[in-house]
Amino acid sequence: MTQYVWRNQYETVELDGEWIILNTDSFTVTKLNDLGGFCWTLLQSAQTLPALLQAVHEQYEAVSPTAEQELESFVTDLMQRGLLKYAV
Amino acid sequence: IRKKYSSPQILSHQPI
Repeated sequence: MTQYVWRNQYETVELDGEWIILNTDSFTVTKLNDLGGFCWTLLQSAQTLPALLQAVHEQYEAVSPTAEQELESFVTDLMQRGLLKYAV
Repeated sequence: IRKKYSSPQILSHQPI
């Protein structure tokens, strides 16, 4: 099962329900919404998509039937922006 | 207290 984890250690700040990630390697600032930030904090340690989905179900109500696809898309997006890597 | 679900999103991604 594929696992994902932060590529490096990042400064992360929550402000008014939005999460701001400062990437001092590539000098970028990335802003996430509330659920994105929740997933991001979990991804500080290696996570599979099913594990993320379970955590989301435990913390959020009325989870979308398409949540798994949305999580996969979100994680892929973070990978492409250089913030996540495959955990080995 | 469980929050209401909204899909995880990257709101912005900018170089500094």
